[in-house]
Amino acid sequence: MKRNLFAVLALSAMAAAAVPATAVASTTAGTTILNVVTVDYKDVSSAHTFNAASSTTVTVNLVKAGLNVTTAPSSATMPGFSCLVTGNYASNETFSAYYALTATANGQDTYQLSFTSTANDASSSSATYTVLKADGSPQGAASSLMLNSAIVVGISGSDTLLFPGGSLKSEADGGFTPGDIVVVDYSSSKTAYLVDTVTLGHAASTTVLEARDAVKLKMFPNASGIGIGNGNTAPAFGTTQPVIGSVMGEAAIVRIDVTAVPSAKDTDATVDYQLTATDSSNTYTTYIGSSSNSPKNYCRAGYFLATKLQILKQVKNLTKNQAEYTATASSDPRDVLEYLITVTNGGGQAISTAVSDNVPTYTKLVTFQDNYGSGTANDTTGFFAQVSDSSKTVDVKMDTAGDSQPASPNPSVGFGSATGVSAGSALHFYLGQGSSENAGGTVPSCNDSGKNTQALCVTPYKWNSTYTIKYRVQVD
Amino acid sequence: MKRTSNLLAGTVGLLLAAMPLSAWAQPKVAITIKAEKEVSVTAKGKQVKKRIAAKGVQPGEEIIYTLNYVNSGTEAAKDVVISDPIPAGTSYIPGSASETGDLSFSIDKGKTFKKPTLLTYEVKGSTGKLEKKVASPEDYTDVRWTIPQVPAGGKGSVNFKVKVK
Repeated sequence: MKRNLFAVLALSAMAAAAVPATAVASTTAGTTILNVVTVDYKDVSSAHTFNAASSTTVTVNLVKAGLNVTTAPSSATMPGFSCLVTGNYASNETFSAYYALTATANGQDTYQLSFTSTANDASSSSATYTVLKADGSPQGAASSLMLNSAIVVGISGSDTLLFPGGSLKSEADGGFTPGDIVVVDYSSSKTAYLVDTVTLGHAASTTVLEARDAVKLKMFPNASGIGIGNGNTAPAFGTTQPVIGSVMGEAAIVRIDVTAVPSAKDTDATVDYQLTATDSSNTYTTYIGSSSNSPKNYCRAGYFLATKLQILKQVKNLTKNQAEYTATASSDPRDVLEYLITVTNGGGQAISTAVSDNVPTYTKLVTFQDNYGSGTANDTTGFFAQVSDSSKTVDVKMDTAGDSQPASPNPSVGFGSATGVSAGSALHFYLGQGSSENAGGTVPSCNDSGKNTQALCVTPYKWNSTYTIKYRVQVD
Repeated sequence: MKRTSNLLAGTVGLLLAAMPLSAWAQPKVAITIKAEKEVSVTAKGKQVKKRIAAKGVQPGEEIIYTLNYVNSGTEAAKDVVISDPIPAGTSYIPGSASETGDLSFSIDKGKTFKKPTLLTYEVKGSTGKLEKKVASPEDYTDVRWTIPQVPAGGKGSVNFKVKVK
């Protein structure tokens, strides 16, 4: 039985040796394994005791592993991975998403980054990535990323993790450096911290005891949308301890910026992007991208909205007290008709939005001295039309001056001018935020000019996508 | 006289010859340690295992420590005790230590040594009572061989394996 048992154990040992662990290393690369053997013995009289010793060292190698890809941390608990939520963006607006790449090897390695994107229904597009420092400022373009990771062997105080003496790289060799982002494993959750200080020790030898390497950590404050900002997530290892034998991995924050211009009216543009990170042995590849997406291992940036501008012209006979605006109306000579032009854009923001019309044949434009609908006629500088953005209404004048807009900070509603009051005279209307006496503005726009995207224009603000223009004529 | 003188000279000669033996005869045991690992190599189209010096190892790999001892002294060494702490960052592989002399292990960093079945410790059970548990090989902190005697000029070796965590 004993022989059989040993045979089984030997087989087990061989099997273990044949399949060395790869991504489950629990000893930091660079650790020195010191073995000191002693022999004690006596002479034949047992009166004298002697001893001798010998030693050998073995160094632990790097076990390469892929990076762990997650969304960037914004709370005490490190998030998982998902492609960041797609939303609606104006044409040429920038979609930005933050992700974290965290090392899981047992030591320092260099990872190659590559980025690709595919635009759909876009006349132009741009997709870039930027590696960020912990404060959100860019580190500059990087096609490779050196990240450290090490296996925790002990804890000191409330904020310091210990590693085998002499195993960590020095700062000069790209090792852990104050300000680096690191992710600590609490078994059921992980938390990101910043490196405060690094103290390098040394391995044990036959003459000196080991002095462990130590990394003191501090809170990762919120900056530019990344980090932990609630102010009470500084390390408290005296209360909750990280897992001994777990990886403390350095993390890099990556910002993806995507923009696109739709190529066709009514069809929104989309952009699929992918960041690939591969370890130095080209064995382990991870993606900012979802395996369940199509294309596989890509993420889709938001929809870059195509303009979906519609225009409708209606009329009603004011003299006959017609209740509703309709597509057609009947009139007697000298009746006053009011035209209603409705401009609606349910899609992406249109810029330079202008409407041109003419005074209909056999009619004359009606003008007013005081405001639209009130006062005697003034055919050169009087009010001739009314423009509304669904929130505010302005009366516009014949000439190209004096169209008063709502007070700041409200955006301009619209401007207008007419070249005359006789049939065939040109009527010009300039709509939306940023419009002027001679140029169109942005439609839709928010009723607070400071909120220039629909994502920012939330309650109590209103996203005005419908503009109306009214003017009156009298039938000859 | 001459005969007497020769006898005295012979006695002194014997004394001088015997003195170095009784004063200098002593054991001198030296020990060396070697760390190796097994790798698979292809030789003549077949995969075979080969031992090479373990300068660098990966977590999960095994290190084979071989301890060679030799008594180069002029007298036998008695109660030869070879002690080796299981190196930090590794764990002992069950059954890997050679069964030479009296093999025993420690779970208290070398304070006490016992046979594996006698290596026990106490933990509080679910009822709150102390329960005795047999230590597992992962708990071993030291390995020790006690060899009753190594004759002058005698030599031997013991070995054991550890797994890098």
